[in-house]
Amino acid sequence: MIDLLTAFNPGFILMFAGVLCALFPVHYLRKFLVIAAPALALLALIIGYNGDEIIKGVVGVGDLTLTTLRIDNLSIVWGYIFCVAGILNGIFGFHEKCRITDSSALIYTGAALGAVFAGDMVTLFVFWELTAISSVFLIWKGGRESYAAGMRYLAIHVLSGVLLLAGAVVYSRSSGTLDFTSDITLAGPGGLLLMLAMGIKVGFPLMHNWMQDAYPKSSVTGTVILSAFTTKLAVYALARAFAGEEVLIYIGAVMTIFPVFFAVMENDMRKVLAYSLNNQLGFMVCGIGIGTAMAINGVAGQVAVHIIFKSLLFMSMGAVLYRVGTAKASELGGLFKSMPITTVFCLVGAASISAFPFFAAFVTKSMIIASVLEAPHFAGQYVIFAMLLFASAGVMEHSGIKIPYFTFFSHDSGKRVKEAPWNMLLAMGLASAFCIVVAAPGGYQLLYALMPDPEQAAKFHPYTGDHIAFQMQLLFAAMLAFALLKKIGAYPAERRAQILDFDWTYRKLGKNVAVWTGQMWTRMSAHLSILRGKFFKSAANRLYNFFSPAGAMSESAPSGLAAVMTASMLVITLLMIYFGT
Amino acid sequence: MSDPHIIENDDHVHKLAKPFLFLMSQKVKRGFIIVPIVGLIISIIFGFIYPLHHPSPIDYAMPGYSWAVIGFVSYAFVVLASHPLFKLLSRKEDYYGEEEMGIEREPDEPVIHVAVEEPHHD
Repeated sequence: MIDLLTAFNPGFILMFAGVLCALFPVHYLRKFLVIAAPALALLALIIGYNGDEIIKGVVGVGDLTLTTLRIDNLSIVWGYIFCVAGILNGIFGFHEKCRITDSSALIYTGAALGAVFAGDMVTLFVFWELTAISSVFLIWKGGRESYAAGMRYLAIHVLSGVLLLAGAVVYSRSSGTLDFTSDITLAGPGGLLLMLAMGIKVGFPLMHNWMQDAYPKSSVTGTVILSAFTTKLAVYALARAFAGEEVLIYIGAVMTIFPVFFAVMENDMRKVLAYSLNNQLGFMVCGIGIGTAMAINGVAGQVAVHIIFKSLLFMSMGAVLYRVGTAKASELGGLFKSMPITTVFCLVGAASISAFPFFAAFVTKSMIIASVLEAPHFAGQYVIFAMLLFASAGVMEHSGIKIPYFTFFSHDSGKRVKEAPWNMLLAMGLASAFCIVVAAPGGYQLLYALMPDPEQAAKFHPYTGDHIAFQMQLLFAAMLAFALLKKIGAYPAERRAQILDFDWTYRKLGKNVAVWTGQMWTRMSAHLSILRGKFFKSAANRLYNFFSPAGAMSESAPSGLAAVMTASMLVITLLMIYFGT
Repeated sequence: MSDPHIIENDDHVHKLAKPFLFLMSQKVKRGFIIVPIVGLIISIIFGFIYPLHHPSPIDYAMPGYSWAVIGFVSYAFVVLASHPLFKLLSRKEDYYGEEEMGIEREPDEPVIHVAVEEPHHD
């Protein structure tokens, strides 16, 4: 049985369960599958992987040889954590009686899992596109208003897949192989296309808006599921293909900075978290760009903990949305009176993302930041370091303070609701426990054991006096700034508004240009139609005047004219024959 | 009080939250600033005792307290920058014509509203 489970890509287990879910009308049976399938996949990975690279599922399709299963020390980290996230998502959504959500969640999780274990770029492409197609249903479950956002999400992700395939074709023509390896470079054939494809999915600056557009409009459960997989799959692909590519350091640093400003202005808490997600991905992209063993360890560890604490934060806001009906800061406040357990879990998530000592990101984010200083020299090294510290203070602002403060404390909104359902509390409780265990002294070594280079990871000691002292300086200073700004009334009030971002270019400018072009075309068509009518009428009149019984051709012509014309034609014919030969 | 859900008393506070209701008092809110001040002072003292193993030029310029300055300035800059940015970038919620109502849902059970003395959000 175990041999059978480990013989093929574990993503297929989830996708098969997803198809079954689409057919099962019984709620509890579906829910069993939603939790059991990722658990089974996790079991298969734990038993099947012993530290050596596994290559299985090699199939021939026409002239192509596809490797559908490749497990190594990099992909296994994503594999484990995707399965854990799948189980937590299943528990969190236990109350939701929706066949579409259950089915698409499983297929989506399975596709993401399948993609990280893909050994070649065609297999990667298939799973890559499948993540987009299966996940869009989770957005559409958000209601009628989410339809347009879902369509934009789908279009952007399909484009990403097309770029990936184009890059793969160009790369394979040059290298003669479709293997998805670290031999790919940005400057090499297909490299730019591949990076763009991954950049769209990971939310490079100016390619990021699908996240803030679609995630907050998804269903309560859908947003939690979506937050875990797509972007981390792209992080994996970048880490596999472009580790050490210097341009990623700068792109990642910019990614950490700009979402911070948008997150402060946003009123919708799930949108704040979507910007926060973008900012955290920046740390990972930056680490990939640095590319040292320590940086890649930090990235893998950060992916593992980030999936869980970001899910935890989305879960807490999802629970608020489920009970209160809104996640807008302007409508919330004082909810700790009604939802104290959710408040505690949210605070654990906030402390984890802010990298407080003894909470999840303290170890992993520090590893990435430290790797910037310890990396071989690159241009602007200290500027990048300062940018990451700036972004860390920004994380404290939007996720460490804003999310819990304006939701659960701040001024009492007077709203009294029930505490979150038991299944949501259980999922949040397990995620909180994970965030604490993997950061605790003695616990973070478990995380180190999973990292791509555990020996190198063991050399990083997070609980040193200087690290704790300086990290606490950063966090307390940010808290002090918050308290002071609140006291003097300089902290902005939460207001309902649409904040313009780069998506304005296609949602407003692009749409208006398309509408204008359409209107101009309609007008031009009308004018062209009139001109065409006039032209044909004029031509018809001229022809009639020339050839009709009353026309010029019917008039009697002098015989001399016919003789001249015949002679001319004879001369032309003779000349053609002469020069033609 | 035309809304049937509005009630004057606050019996709907969760039993686990009752011991922590003091967190909402004005006294606690005003005094909260003490926490980061004390924490910051302690962490700066520790910063001098345990200097950074891998200092950057910023840390050489401000030995022992560099990250405190970075944290404070960064946070304040982000928040203060949000004022002009909000004026520049904010539009009505239905600006895109799609109505961001997708973000709001019918709660699974009716929300009870209690009368609160303090105004909502400053």
